[in-house]
Amino acid sequence: MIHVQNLEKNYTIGTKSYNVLKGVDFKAEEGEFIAVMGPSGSGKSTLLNLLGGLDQPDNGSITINDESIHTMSEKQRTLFRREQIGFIFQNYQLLPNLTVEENVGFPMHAASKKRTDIHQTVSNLLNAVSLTGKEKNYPSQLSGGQQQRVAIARALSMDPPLILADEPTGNLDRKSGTEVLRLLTTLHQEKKLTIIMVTHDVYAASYADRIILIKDGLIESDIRQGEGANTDVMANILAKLNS
Amino acid sequence: MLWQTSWRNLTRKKVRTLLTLLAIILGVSSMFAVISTVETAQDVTTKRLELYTGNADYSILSRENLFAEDVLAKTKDVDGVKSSLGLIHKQAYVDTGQEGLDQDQTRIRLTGLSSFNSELLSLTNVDGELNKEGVILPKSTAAIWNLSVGDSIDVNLPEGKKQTTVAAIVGDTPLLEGPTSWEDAKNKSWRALLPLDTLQEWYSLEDQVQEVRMKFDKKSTDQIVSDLERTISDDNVYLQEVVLDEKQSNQLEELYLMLYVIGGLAMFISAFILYNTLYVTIVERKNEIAVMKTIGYTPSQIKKIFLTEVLTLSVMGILIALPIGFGLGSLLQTGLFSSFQTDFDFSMKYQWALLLSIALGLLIPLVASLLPVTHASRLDIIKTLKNIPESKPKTNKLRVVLGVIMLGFGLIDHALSIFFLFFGFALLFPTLMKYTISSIKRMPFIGFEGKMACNNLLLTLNRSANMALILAFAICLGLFVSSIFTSLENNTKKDIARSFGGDIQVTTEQEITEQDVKELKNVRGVDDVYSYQETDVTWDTDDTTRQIKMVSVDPEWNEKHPLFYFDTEQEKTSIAFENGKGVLLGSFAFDEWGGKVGEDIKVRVNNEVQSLKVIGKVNTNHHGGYAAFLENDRYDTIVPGSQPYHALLTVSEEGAENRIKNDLLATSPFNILEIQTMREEVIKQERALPGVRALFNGLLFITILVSGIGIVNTLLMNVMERMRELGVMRAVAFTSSQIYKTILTEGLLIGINGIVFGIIMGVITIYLNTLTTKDEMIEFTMPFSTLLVSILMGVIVSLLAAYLPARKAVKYDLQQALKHE
Repeated sequence: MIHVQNLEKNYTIGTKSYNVLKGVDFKAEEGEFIAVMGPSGSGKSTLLNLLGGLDQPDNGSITINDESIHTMSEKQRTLFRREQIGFIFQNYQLLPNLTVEENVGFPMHAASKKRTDIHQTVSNLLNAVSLTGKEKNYPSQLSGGQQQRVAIARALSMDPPLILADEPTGNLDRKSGTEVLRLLTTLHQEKKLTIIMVTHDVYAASYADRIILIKDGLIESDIRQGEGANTDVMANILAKLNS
Repeated sequence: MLWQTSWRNLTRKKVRTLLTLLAIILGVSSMFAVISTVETAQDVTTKRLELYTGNADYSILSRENLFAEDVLAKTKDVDGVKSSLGLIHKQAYVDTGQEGLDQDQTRIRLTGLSSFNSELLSLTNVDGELNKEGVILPKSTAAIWNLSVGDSIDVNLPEGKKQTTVAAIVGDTPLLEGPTSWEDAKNKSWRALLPLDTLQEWYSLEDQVQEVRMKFDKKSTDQIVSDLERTISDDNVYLQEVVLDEKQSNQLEELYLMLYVIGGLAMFISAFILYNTLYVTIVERKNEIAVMKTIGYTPSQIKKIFLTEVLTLSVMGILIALPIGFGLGSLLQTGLFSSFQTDFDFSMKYQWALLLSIALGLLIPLVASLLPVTHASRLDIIKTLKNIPESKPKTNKLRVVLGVIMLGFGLIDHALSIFFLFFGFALLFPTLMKYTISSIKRMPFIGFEGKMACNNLLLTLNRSANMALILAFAICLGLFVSSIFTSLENNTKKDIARSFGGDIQVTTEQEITEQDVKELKNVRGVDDVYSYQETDVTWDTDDTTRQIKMVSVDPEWNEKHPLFYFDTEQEKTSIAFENGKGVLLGSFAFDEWGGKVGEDIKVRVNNEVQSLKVIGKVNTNHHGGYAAFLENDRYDTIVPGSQPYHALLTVSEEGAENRIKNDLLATSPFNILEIQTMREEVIKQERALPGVRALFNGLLFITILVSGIGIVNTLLMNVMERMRELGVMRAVAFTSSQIYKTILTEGLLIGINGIVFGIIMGVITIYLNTLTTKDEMIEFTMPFSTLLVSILMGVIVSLLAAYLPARKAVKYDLQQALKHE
C-alpha cells in the first residue's frame, strides 16, 4: 500500500542546513498498524508530514495505493489527502469555533457531500467514538481525551484507508491515552485501516503490530510483533532509544 | 530594557510592524498634506490680497469717483505716511491684430500709477524697463498677445486710437490678473499698467486721481488718519481702511472643511488599523502576557510594554510620514491651485501642519491603543493558559438601544437629524451586519466556503462591521454630495434667478444719473431699469477687522427681481425693512458676525462707527463675500453722498439680452465696466459644476480606496489570527481555491454590507436633507451614475483587498501554520 524509497528531506534555518531524513526506505502493507518511534529530532514527524503530503521531499519517492504523491501538485495532494488519508494530531487541531459535529463533518462539507450523508456519517462516527450527545458542544467544552476522539472521528469521516497519527496520546493522561489507543486498535481491526502512528511513548507503540525506529534520519530497526516476545521487543527498543 | 523589549517585539513580526507603520504613515501624511494645504491656501489668499492692494493700510477715495491729484502730494506731508501712490483705472479696447474677436474680448482695464518705484507695488520685472514710456503687461497676457518689449500696440480710447509700445513685461500678479485665454476674455478684462500722467493725458483727466493708497508707519494709525483728514480737508473725499481678510472675497471654508474631512477620515482609518493590529498582537501574545502576570507583572507594567511599542512605532511612523506628507501636500496644492485657472505662485506653509501632525501622530495611536492595551492588562490568566477561546461577541444591548434612540432622533425634521442618523447607524451597524450575515449564511447558493466566511465574520463582527461602516459612510457621502450636484445642475437657472436682480447687471465707470436711467430704458428691448449703490465698509469683529459690501435696495424692485432670498417664504413675508431701520445680512456675513436677529452690527463708514439693527439673514449669489442689504433711504443716511454705479435691467422680450449687451457696449464702450447677462452667468456656472463634481467623484474614489486599505488590514488580521485554523483546514480538507473562496467571500461580504447600508444611508440622508433643507433648489434626486460607480468600486475594492490576505493564507507554510499560536 505504501512504498517509500530513498526519502530525503533537508531544512535550512538561518545559514545552517539540517539533513533531517537521509534516505528512508520502507514498505507498509494494507491493514498494518505501524508505530514510528525515535528520539526528538530524529525525523519521525517529518516522515509523517511527507507521507501525508503536508510537505515535499527533496529526494526519493512516496507511493500510496499506486499513486506517487511526491509528484502531485498542491491541489492534487490536498484532494488525495482528503479522500485517502485521515490525519490525527498531537494537539487535536480542532477548529475551535465549530461544534463537534461540524468539526467531524468538515472534510465532507469541503468535499461537497450531501447533507443527509454528512449527518448520517457524523452520527455513526460519534457513536463509534462514544461521543453521542456531544454534537453541539464546542471543543473547549470537552476534555483532552474527548477532543482527540473528535479528531479521530474527523479523520475517519471520508472513510480513508490510511490514518496518519502524530503523537495522538502525547497530550493525554494514561487513562485517556489508553482509550484513544484502544479506539485506534478497534478501528484498525474492524475497518482494516492502515495506521501509521508517530510516538515516543513505548506504551503507545506496544499497540502497534510493527515498530519502525528512526534515528538520525535513517531507519535504525523495523520490528514486527510476533518476531519475539513483547517484552523482548520493548526491551530491544528501549535499549536502542537510549543508546 | 523596556525599549529593547519593545524593539525586539516589533522586529519579530516584521509584516505586522510594517502594516502598522503604513497605517500611521497614511494617517500622519494625509493630515500633514491637508493641514498644510489649508494653511498654504489661506496664506496664498492673503498674499494675493496684499499684492492686489500693495499691502496698503489706508486708501483715499472720492464720492464723486475722481478727485484732485494734489491730495496725493498732501499725503506726503503728513507725518507717519511712509509712502503713497495715486492711481486711476480706465476702460479701453486693445487691438493686437488678432482677427475674429468680439468687442468684449478686447476690453482692457488700464491702471495709471503715479510711480513704479513705490513700496506699495510689488512687480517682478521680467523684461524691459518699468519707468519707460508705454504699457506694462503681465507675462501671461504678453504671451497670449504674442508681444515682446518694444512691440507697438494700438489702444482704442474715447478720443480715438493711440499707439504705444510695450515698455516692460512683469511677472503675473493679482493686480494685473487678466484672462488666461481669448475665450476667457469674454468674461474678464485684460489688465495693463502705465504711467499716471499718460493715462491722464489719454483720458483728459489732468491733475486728477481716482484713489490714493498709503502705507503708514506703525505708530499711531488714529493720529495719522486724523492728520490726513485735517490736511486734505475735502468733504468729497474720504479715508477707508484697507482690510486684508482672506475670507472677504472668497468662500473657501467649504473646501477647507472638505479637506479636513478627508484628512480626518484617513487619520481615523489609520487609528482603526492600529487598533486592529494591536488587538491581534495581544491575542497572539496572550500566553506570554499570562505568564508575565503569573510571575508578578502588574497590569500597568503590561500596559507600559505595549504603549512603549506603540510610541516607538508612532515616532518611526511620523519620521517617515513627514517627508511623504510634504510630497503629498505639494501634489494636492498644485492640483488645487491649478483648478482655479489662474497662475499661482506659492510656497508651501506647514508650521501648523508640522506641529499638529506630530501631535496627532503621537496622540491618536496612543488613544487607539488604549482599548486593546487595557484588554491585555486584564487578561484572565487561567482562561488564557488553559486556552479557553473567547466567547462569540454578543450584541451590546445598550448600544442597540442607544442606536434605536439615535435613529429616532434622526427622523425628526431638523438639520441636525442627519448626524443623529449617522450616529444611530454607527451604533446599530454590528447588529445590522450580524443579521445580514446570518441571513446570507442560510442561503443555499453560498456554499460551504461561504458559510465558513460568514462564521468567520460573525466571530470578528465588531472589527468587520467597523470596516464596512467606513465604506458605507464613504458611499453615503458620495451619493449625498452627488445628489446635491444633480439638484444644482437641474436648477442652476432657477438658483441664479433668485438673486440676480434682473436680466442684465451693469457696472459703470461714471455714476448713473436719472437721465442715464431714462436713456437705458429707451434702449430697444429693455423693459425696466434700476440703479443702485454699493460700498465697502469696515466691520470690527472681536478679533479682526473685516470688510462688508453694503448694497442699497428698493423693496419694490427687490420684490419682483430679488437680489437676495430668504430661507423660507414665511420669513420673506414677516421681515420687512422695518421702515428702513434695519439691515439684512447675507448668510456668510451673518454666520461670521455670530449675533442674533434684533442685535446691532457695528460698521465703520468714513471712519465713523454706525450701529445697524440686524433684522434678518438672507441668501445671495450676488456677492461672493460678506454682503449687507439696506433699504435705499437708510443707505443714504449711512453713506451720505454715495452715487449709483450699478444698474439692473430687465428685458421685455426673451433672448434679447445679448443684443442689448452688444448695443450698450457699442453706445457706451468706455463707460461700461462690466456687463453680464443672467444667461451668461447660468452658462458659466453650468460649465463650472462638472469640474467640481469630478473633484468630488475623485474624492469618493479615494475614500473608497482608503476603505479598501482598511479591509486589507482587517482581513489580514483575521487571517493572521486564524492561521492555525486555516492550516488545519488545509491539512484535513480544504484546497487552495477553497481557502481563496472563503477569504474572498469574507471581503465581498464586508463590501456588500458597506455598499447596501451605504446606499440605504445615502437614500435616507438625501431624503432627510430634502425635507429639512431650507434651500428649495435641493430636490430628492438619486444619482444613478454615482450609485453604479459606488457598487462597482465597492465590490472591486473589497475583492482586491481580500486577495492579499487570501494569498498569504494559502502561501503560508502548512507545517508552520499548524504550529501557529
